[in-house]
Amino acid sequence: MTDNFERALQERLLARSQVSPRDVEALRLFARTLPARRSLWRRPAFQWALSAAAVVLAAVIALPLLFRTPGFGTNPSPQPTAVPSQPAPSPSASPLVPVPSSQVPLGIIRLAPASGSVVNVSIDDPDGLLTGALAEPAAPTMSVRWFDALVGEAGPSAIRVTWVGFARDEEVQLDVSRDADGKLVLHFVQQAPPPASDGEGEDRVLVLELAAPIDPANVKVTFDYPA
Amino acid sequence: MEAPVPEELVVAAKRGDREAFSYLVSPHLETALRVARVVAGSPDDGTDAVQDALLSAWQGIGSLREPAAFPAWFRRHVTRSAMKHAKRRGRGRVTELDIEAAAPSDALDRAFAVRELDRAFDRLSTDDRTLLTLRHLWDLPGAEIARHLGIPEGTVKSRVHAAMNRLRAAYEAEERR
Repeated sequence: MTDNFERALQERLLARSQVSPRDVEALRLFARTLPARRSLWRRPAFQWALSAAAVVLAAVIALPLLFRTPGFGTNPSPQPTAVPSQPAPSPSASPLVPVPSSQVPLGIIRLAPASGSVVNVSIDDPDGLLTGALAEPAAPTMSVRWFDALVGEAGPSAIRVTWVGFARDEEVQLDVSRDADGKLVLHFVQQAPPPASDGEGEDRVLVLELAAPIDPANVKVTFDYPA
Repeated sequence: MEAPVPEELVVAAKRGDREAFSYLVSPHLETALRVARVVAGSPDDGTDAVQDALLSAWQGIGSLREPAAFPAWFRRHVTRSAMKHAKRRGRGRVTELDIEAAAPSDALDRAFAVRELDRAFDRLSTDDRTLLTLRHLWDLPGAEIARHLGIPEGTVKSRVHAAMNRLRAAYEAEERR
Protein backbone atom coordinates (compact mmCIF):
# COMPACT_ATOMS: atom_id res chain seq x y z
CA MET A 1 0.00 0.00 0.00
CA THR A 2 2.80 2.43 0.83
CA ASP A 3 4.44 1.87 -2.61
CA ASN A 4 1.55 3.56 -4.32
CA PHE A 5 0.52 5.62 -1.38
CA GLU A 6 -0.44 8.73 -3.33
CA ARG A 7 -2.52 6.76 -5.80
CA ALA A 8 -4.20 4.91 -2.93
CA LEU A 9 -5.02 8.25 -1.31
CA GLN A 10 -6.41 9.61 -4.57
CA GLU A 11 -8.64 6.55 -4.99
CA ARG A 12 -9.84 6.78 -1.40
CA LEU A 13 -10.63 10.47 -1.71
CA LEU A 14 -12.66 9.76 -4.81
CA ALA A 15 -14.43 6.85 -3.18
CA ARG A 16 -15.15 8.76 0.02
CA SER A 17 -16.53 11.77 -1.75
CA GLN A 18 -19.25 10.11 -3.74
CA VAL A 19 -22.17 12.43 -4.35
CA SER A 20 -25.50 11.64 -5.87
CA PRO A 21 -27.04 13.66 -8.72
CA ARG A 22 -29.84 14.47 -6.28
CA ASP A 23 -27.39 16.17 -3.90
CA VAL A 24 -26.01 18.26 -6.74
CA GLU A 25 -29.48 19.13 -8.00
CA ALA A 26 -30.45 20.24 -4.49
CA LEU A 27 -27.49 22.62 -4.45
CA ARG A 28 -28.39 23.93 -7.89
CA LEU A 29 -31.88 24.67 -6.60
CA PHE A 30 -30.36 26.33 -3.56
CA ALA A 31 -28.32 28.57 -5.87
CA ARG A 32 -31.42 29.52 -7.83
CA THR A 33 -33.36 30.45 -4.71
CA LEU A 34 -30.76 32.47 -2.84
CA PRO A 35 -32.18 35.50 -1.05
CA ALA A 36 -32.21 38.65 -3.14
CA ARG A 37 -29.29 40.93 -2.46
CA ARG A 38 -30.22 44.18 -0.85
CA SER A 39 -28.69 47.30 -2.27
CA LEU A 40 -26.60 49.54 -0.07
CA TRP A 41 -29.52 51.95 0.33
CA ARG A 42 -31.75 49.22 1.72
CA ARG A 43 -29.30 47.73 4.19
CA PRO A 44 -30.34 48.30 7.83
CA ALA A 45 -26.87 49.49 8.84
CA PHE A 46 -26.83 52.06 6.05
CA GLN A 47 -30.34 53.24 6.87
CA TRP A 48 -29.41 53.54 10.54
CA ALA A 49 -26.30 55.55 9.65
CA LEU A 50 -28.37 57.77 7.36
CA SER A 51 -30.92 58.43 10.14
CA ALA A 52 -28.17 59.21 12.62
CA ALA A 53 -26.56 61.60 10.14
CA ALA A 54 -29.92 63.32 9.59
CA VAL A 55 -30.39 63.81 13.35
CA VAL A 56 -26.89 65.27 13.72
CA LEU A 57 -27.44 67.58 10.74
CA ALA A 58 -30.76 68.76 12.14
CA ALA A 59 -29.11 69.47 15.50
CA VAL A 60 -26.25 71.38 13.86
CA ILE A 61 -28.74 73.59 12.00
CA ALA A 62 -31.31 73.99 14.78
CA LEU A 63 -29.10 74.70 17.81
CA PRO A 64 -27.53 77.99 16.62
CA LEU A 65 -30.96 79.24 15.52
CA LEU A 66 -32.36 78.33 18.93
CA PHE A 67 -29.63 80.25 20.76
CA ARG A 68 -30.17 83.33 18.58
CA THR A 69 -33.91 83.45 19.29
CA PRO A 70 -34.78 86.59 21.39
CA GLY A 71 -35.75 85.61 24.92
CA PHE A 72 -33.80 82.44 24.85
CA GLY A 73 -30.83 82.33 27.19
CA THR A 74 -29.51 85.02 29.51
CA ASN A 75 -28.87 87.87 27.09
CA PRO A 76 -31.92 89.05 25.18
CA SER A 77 -30.02 91.67 23.20
CA PRO A 78 -29.12 90.59 19.74
CA GLN A 79 -25.48 89.72 19.27
CA PRO A 80 -23.56 91.02 16.36
CA THR A 81 -23.33 88.25 13.86
CA ALA A 82 -20.27 89.57 12.12
CA VAL A 83 -17.10 88.07 13.53
CA PRO A 84 -13.80 89.87 13.04
CA SER A 85 -11.98 88.08 10.34
CA GLN A 86 -9.29 85.74 11.59
CA PRO A 87 -6.98 83.48 9.72
CA ALA A 88 -8.58 80.12 9.22
CA PRO A 89 -7.09 77.47 11.49
CA SER A 90 -4.71 75.24 9.66
CA PRO A 91 -5.56 71.58 9.56
CA SER A 92 -3.98 69.81 12.51
CA ALA A 93 -3.33 66.54 10.76
CA SER A 94 0.23 66.18 9.61
CA PRO A 95 0.64 65.39 5.93
CA LEU A 96 2.91 62.52 6.96
CA VAL A 97 0.07 60.78 8.78
CA PRO A 98 -2.65 60.56 6.18
CA VAL A 99 -6.02 59.28 7.18
CA PRO A 100 -7.09 56.71 4.66
CA SER A 101 -10.37 57.56 3.12
CA SER A 102 -13.04 55.19 2.03
CA GLN A 103 -13.36 57.48 -0.98
CA VAL A 104 -10.12 56.05 -2.30
CA PRO A 105 -11.12 53.41 -4.80
CA LEU A 106 -9.46 50.05 -4.57
CA GLY A 107 -7.83 48.66 -7.63
CA ILE A 108 -4.43 50.01 -8.57
CA ILE A 109 -2.61 52.22 -6.09
CA ARG A 110 0.59 54.02 -7.05
CA LEU A 111 3.09 53.90 -4.22
CA ALA A 112 5.35 56.77 -3.22
CA PRO A 113 8.82 55.27 -2.78
CA ALA A 114 11.76 57.57 -2.03
CA SER A 115 13.43 56.84 -5.38
CA GLY A 116 10.40 58.11 -7.26
CA SER A 117 10.07 54.81 -9.13
CA VAL A 118 6.67 54.03 -10.59
CA VAL A 119 5.45 51.19 -8.38
CA ASN A 120 1.80 50.24 -8.80
CA VAL A 121 0.02 47.84 -6.47
CA SER A 122 -2.92 46.01 -7.95
CA ILE A 123 -5.22 44.97 -5.11
CA ASP A 124 -7.35 41.84 -5.34
CA ASP A 125 -9.81 41.76 -2.46
CA PRO A 126 -12.51 39.26 -3.47
CA ASP A 127 -14.14 39.22 -0.02
CA GLY A 128 -14.34 42.99 0.37
CA LEU A 129 -12.17 43.07 3.49
CA LEU A 130 -10.78 46.49 2.58
CA THR A 131 -12.63 49.75 2.17
CA GLY A 132 -9.75 51.90 1.05
CA ALA A 133 -6.05 52.09 0.37
CA LEU A 134 -3.60 54.94 0.34
CA ALA A 135 0.08 55.21 -0.61
CA GLU A 136 2.23 56.94 1.96
CA PRO A 137 5.59 58.56 1.21
CA ALA A 138 8.35 56.12 2.16
CA ALA A 139 11.72 56.94 3.65
CA PRO A 140 14.89 56.20 1.63
CA THR A 141 15.76 53.33 3.97
CA MET A 142 15.21 49.61 4.39
CA SER A 143 13.12 49.44 7.57
CA VAL A 144 12.68 45.69 7.23
CA ARG A 145 14.46 42.83 5.54
CA TRP A 146 13.34 41.29 2.28
CA PHE A 147 10.31 38.99 2.69
CA ASP A 148 9.46 40.74 5.95
CA ALA A 149 6.97 43.49 6.75
CA LEU A 150 6.09 45.92 9.51
CA VAL A 151 2.40 46.21 10.29
CA GLY A 152 1.23 49.00 12.57
CA GLU A 153 -1.95 50.86 13.42
CA ALA A 154 -2.82 53.82 11.23
CA GLY A 155 -6.23 54.62 12.66
CA PRO A 156 -9.18 52.93 14.32
CA SER A 157 -9.61 50.48 11.47
CA ALA A 158 -6.55 51.10 9.37
CA ILE A 159 -3.13 49.54 9.24
CA ARG A 160 0.15 50.75 7.83
CA VAL A 161 2.20 48.11 6.03
CA THR A 162 5.88 48.72 5.35
CA TRP A 163 7.91 46.33 3.26
CA VAL A 164 10.83 46.43 0.90
CA GLY A 165 11.11 46.33 -2.87
CA PHE A 166 13.60 47.16 -5.54
CA ALA A 167 14.12 50.86 -6.29
CA ARG A 168 12.75 50.53 -9.81
CA ASP A 169 9.49 50.64 -11.71
CA GLU A 170 7.33 47.62 -10.96
CA GLU A 171 3.80 46.22 -10.99
CA VAL A 172 3.04 44.56 -7.65
CA GLN A 173 0.09 42.29 -6.94
CA LEU A 174 -1.55 42.29 -3.51
CA ASP A 175 -4.07 39.57 -2.68
CA VAL A 176 -6.16 40.18 0.41
CA SER A 177 -7.84 37.29 2.17
CA ARG A 178 -8.51 35.72 5.53
CA ASP A 179 -6.91 32.46 6.56
CA ALA A 180 -8.61 29.64 8.42
CA ASP A 181 -7.66 31.19 11.77
CA GLY A 182 -9.34 34.47 10.88
CA LYS A 183 -6.06 36.31 10.31
CA LEU A 184 -5.94 38.91 7.58
CA VAL A 185 -3.51 37.68 4.94
CA LEU A 186 -1.74 40.19 2.70
CA HIS A 187 0.03 38.30 -0.04
CA PHE A 188 2.41 40.41 -2.14
CA VAL A 189 3.67 39.17 -5.47
CA GLN A 190 6.71 41.19 -6.50
CA GLN A 191 10.32 41.00 -7.63
CA ALA A 192 12.85 40.18 -4.93
CA PRO A 193 16.38 38.83 -4.65
CA PRO A 194 16.81 35.07 -4.07
CA PRO A 195 15.94 34.15 -0.46
CA ALA A 196 19.49 33.36 0.69
CA SER A 197 21.06 36.43 -0.90
CA ASP A 198 20.93 40.11 -0.16
CA GLY A 199 19.86 42.96 -2.38
CA GLU A 200 19.57 46.71 -2.23
CA GLY A 201 15.98 47.78 -1.72
CA GLU A 202 13.87 50.60 -0.39
CA ASP A 203 10.77 50.93 1.75
CA ARG A 204 7.28 50.72 0.30
CA VAL A 205 4.41 51.93 2.46
CA LEU A 206 0.72 51.34 2.05
CA VAL A 207 -2.09 52.29 4.41
CA LEU A 208 -5.08 49.98 4.22
CA GLU A 209 -8.48 50.85 5.61
CA LEU A 210 -10.41 47.79 6.68
CA ALA A 211 -14.10 47.08 6.81
CA ALA A 212 -13.66 46.09 10.47
CA PRO A 213 -11.03 47.04 13.08
CA ILE A 214 -8.15 44.59 13.35
CA ASP A 215 -5.20 44.08 15.67
CA PRO A 216 -1.99 44.40 13.62
CA ALA A 217 -0.85 41.19 15.33
CA ASN A 218 -3.60 39.42 13.42
CA VAL A 219 -2.21 40.42 10.05
CA LYS A 220 -0.04 37.95 8.17
CA VAL A 221 2.12 39.27 5.33
CA THR A 222 3.50 36.81 2.80
CA PHE A 223 5.56 37.29 -0.34
CA ASP A 224 6.01 35.50 -3.57
CA TYR A 225 7.85 35.98 -6.83
CA PRO A 226 5.86 36.73 -9.97
CA ALA A 227 5.23 33.68 -12.14
CA MET B 1 -8.91 22.83 -19.25
CA GLU B 2 -11.78 24.86 -17.89
CA ALA B 3 -14.52 26.15 -20.13
CA PRO B 4 -14.40 29.94 -20.53
CA VAL B 5 -16.77 31.86 -18.29
CA PRO B 6 -19.41 33.81 -20.25
CA GLU B 7 -18.83 37.37 -19.15
CA GLU B 8 -22.48 38.30 -19.60
CA LEU B 9 -23.46 35.71 -16.97
CA VAL B 10 -21.12 37.31 -14.44
CA VAL B 11 -22.50 40.75 -15.29
CA ALA B 12 -26.07 39.46 -14.93
CA ALA B 13 -25.27 37.74 -11.62
CA LYS B 14 -23.73 40.98 -10.36
CA ARG B 15 -27.00 42.72 -11.22
CA GLY B 16 -28.85 40.18 -9.06
CA ASP B 17 -29.87 37.53 -11.61
CA ARG B 18 -30.01 34.28 -9.62
CA GLU B 19 -30.56 32.17 -12.72
CA ALA B 20 -27.30 33.48 -14.18
CA PHE B 21 -25.53 32.79 -10.90
CA SER B 22 -26.91 29.26 -10.90
CA TYR B 23 -25.56 28.71 -14.44
CA LEU B 24 -22.17 29.98 -13.35
CA VAL B 25 -21.83 27.68 -10.35
CA SER B 26 -23.47 24.58 -11.87
CA PRO B 27 -20.36 23.09 -13.51
CA HIS B 28 -18.48 23.33 -10.21
CA LEU B 29 -21.07 22.01 -7.78
CA GLU B 30 -20.30 18.30 -7.95
CA THR B 31 -16.57 18.68 -7.34
CA ALA B 32 -17.19 21.39 -4.78
CA LEU B 33 -19.45 19.03 -2.86
CA ARG B 34 -16.91 16.20 -3.07
CA VAL B 35 -14.10 18.38 -1.77
CA ALA B 36 -16.23 19.98 0.94
CA ARG B 37 -17.36 16.59 2.22
CA VAL B 38 -13.81 15.32 2.52
CA VAL B 39 -12.42 18.50 4.07
CA ALA B 40 -15.38 19.15 6.38
CA GLY B 41 -15.39 15.52 7.46
CA SER B 42 -19.00 14.48 6.88
CA PRO B 43 -21.61 14.59 4.12
CA ASP B 44 -23.86 16.92 6.10
CA ASP B 45 -21.07 19.34 7.00
CA GLY B 46 -19.90 19.24 3.40
CA THR B 47 -23.34 20.15 2.10
CA ASP B 48 -23.65 22.95 4.65
CA ALA B 49 -20.21 24.22 3.64
CA VAL B 50 -21.13 24.40 -0.05
CA GLN B 51 -24.39 26.16 0.78
CA ASP B 52 -22.46 28.72 2.85
CA ALA B 53 -19.99 29.11 0.00
CA LEU B 54 -22.83 29.70 -2.46
CA LEU B 55 -24.31 32.33 -0.18
CA SER B 56 -21.02 34.15 0.36
CA ALA B 57 -20.17 33.99 -3.35
CA TRP B 58 -23.62 35.34 -4.23
CA GLN B 59 -23.26 38.20 -1.77
CA GLY B 60 -19.69 38.96 -2.79
CA ILE B 61 -19.88 38.60 -6.56
CA GLY B 62 -19.99 42.37 -6.92
CA SER B 63 -16.34 42.46 -5.89
CA LEU B 64 -15.26 40.00 -8.59
CA ARG B 65 -13.34 42.17 -11.04
CA GLU B 66 -12.26 39.61 -13.62
CA PRO B 67 -15.10 37.37 -14.91
CA ALA B 68 -12.62 34.77 -16.16
CA ALA B 69 -11.45 34.31 -12.58
CA PHE B 70 -14.89 33.13 -11.46
CA PRO B 71 -14.10 29.38 -11.16
CA ALA B 72 -11.01 29.90 -8.99
CA TRP B 73 -12.79 32.60 -7.02
CA PHE B 74 -15.75 30.30 -6.32
CA ARG B 75 -13.43 27.42 -5.39
CA ARG B 76 -11.78 29.71 -2.88
CA HIS B 77 -15.16 30.34 -1.24
CA VAL B 78 -15.77 26.59 -1.10
CA THR B 79 -12.35 25.81 0.38
CA ARG B 80 -12.66 28.44 3.08
CA SER B 81 -16.16 27.44 3.97
CA ALA B 82 -15.23 23.75 4.17
CA MET B 83 -12.24 24.56 6.37
CA LYS B 84 -14.44 26.66 8.63
CA HIS B 85 -16.87 23.78 9.03
CA ALA B 86 -13.99 21.35 9.61
CA LYS B 87 -12.54 23.53 12.36
CA ARG B 88 -15.94 23.85 13.98
CA ARG B 89 -16.32 20.11 13.91
CA GLY B 90 -12.81 19.53 15.23
CA ARG B 91 -10.44 16.81 14.28
CA GLY B 92 -10.13 13.27 15.51
CA ARG B 93 -13.63 12.13 14.62
CA VAL B 94 -12.86 9.14 12.53
CA THR B 95 -15.33 7.96 9.95
CA GLU B 96 -15.48 4.21 10.36
CA LEU B 97 -15.73 2.05 7.32
CA ASP B 98 -18.07 -0.91 7.62
CA ILE B 99 -15.64 -3.74 6.80
CA GLU B 100 -18.28 -6.43 6.58
CA ALA B 101 -20.33 -4.43 4.14
CA ALA B 102 -17.40 -3.10 2.17
CA ALA B 103 -15.47 -6.27 1.48
CA PRO B 104 -16.07 -9.88 0.67
CA SER B 105 -13.83 -12.22 2.66
CA ASP B 106 -11.15 -12.49 -0.04
CA ALA B 107 -10.65 -8.73 -0.04
CA LEU B 108 -10.52 -8.38 3.69
CA ASP B 109 -6.86 -7.34 3.77
CA ARG B 110 -7.50 -4.54 1.35
CA ALA B 111 -10.57 -3.48 3.27
CA PHE B 112 -8.49 -3.25 6.44
CA ALA B 113 -5.84 -1.21 4.60
CA VAL B 114 -8.52 1.14 3.30
CA ARG B 115 -9.95 1.56 6.79
CA GLU B 116 -6.51 2.35 8.17
CA LEU B 117 -5.94 4.93 5.45
CA ASP B 118 -9.31 6.53 6.19
CA ARG B 119 -8.55 6.65 9.89
CA ALA B 120 -5.10 8.11 9.26
CA PHE B 121 -6.54 10.77 6.94
CA ASP B 122 -9.25 11.72 9.42
CA ARG B 123 -6.67 12.17 12.14
CA LEU B 124 -4.77 14.81 10.15
CA SER B 125 -5.20 18.49 10.89
CA THR B 126 -7.73 20.49 8.86
CA ASP B 127 -4.89 22.25 7.04
CA ASP B 128 -3.27 18.96 6.02
CA ARG B 129 -6.58 17.42 4.94
CA THR B 130 -7.37 20.51 2.90
CA LEU B 131 -3.96 20.60 1.23
CA LEU B 132 -4.11 16.93 0.26
CA THR B 133 -7.69 17.22 -0.95
CA LEU B 134 -7.01 20.30 -3.08
CA ARG B 135 -3.98 18.59 -4.57
CA HIS B 136 -5.19 15.02 -5.01
CA LEU B 137 -8.96 15.35 -5.41
CA TRP B 138 -9.46 18.78 -6.94
CA ASP B 139 -6.10 18.53 -8.73
CA LEU B 140 -5.46 22.25 -8.36
CA PRO B 141 -2.17 23.85 -9.41
CA GLY B 142 0.16 25.13 -6.72
CA ALA B 143 -0.61 28.78 -7.47
CA GLU B 144 -4.31 28.31 -6.83
CA ILE B 145 -3.74 26.24 -3.69
CA ALA B 146 -1.50 29.04 -2.42
CA ARG B 147 -4.22 31.62 -3.06
CA HIS B 148 -6.87 29.51 -1.34
CA LEU B 149 -4.80 28.97 1.76
CA GLY B 150 -3.04 32.35 1.86
CA ILE B 151 0.42 30.83 1.70
CA PRO B 152 3.36 31.55 -0.60
CA GLU B 153 3.21 29.55 -3.79
CA GLY B 154 6.79 28.41 -3.31
CA THR B 155 5.87 26.55 -0.13
CA VAL B 156 2.91 24.56 -1.50
CA LYS B 157 4.99 21.64 -2.74
CA SER B 158 6.90 21.26 0.51
CA ARG B 159 3.70 21.56 2.57
CA VAL B 160 1.97 18.88 0.50
CA HIS B 161 5.05 16.70 0.90
CA ALA B 162 5.05 17.23 4.67
CA ALA B 163 1.31 16.47 4.88
CA MET B 164 1.87 13.25 2.91
CA ASN B 165 4.61 12.26 5.34
CA ARG B 166 2.31 12.87 8.28
CA LEU B 167 -0.38 10.80 6.57
CA ARG B 168 2.12 8.01 5.99
CA ALA B 169 3.17 8.11 9.64
CA ALA B 170 -0.45 8.09 10.80
CA TYR B 171 -1.18 5.19 8.48
CA GLU B 172 1.76 3.19 9.81
CA ALA B 173 0.61 3.90 13.35
CA GLU B 174 -2.85 2.58 12.41
CA GLU B 175 -1.28 -0.53 10.90
CA ARG B 176 0.57 -1.25 14.16
CA ARG B 177 -2.59 -0.96 16.25
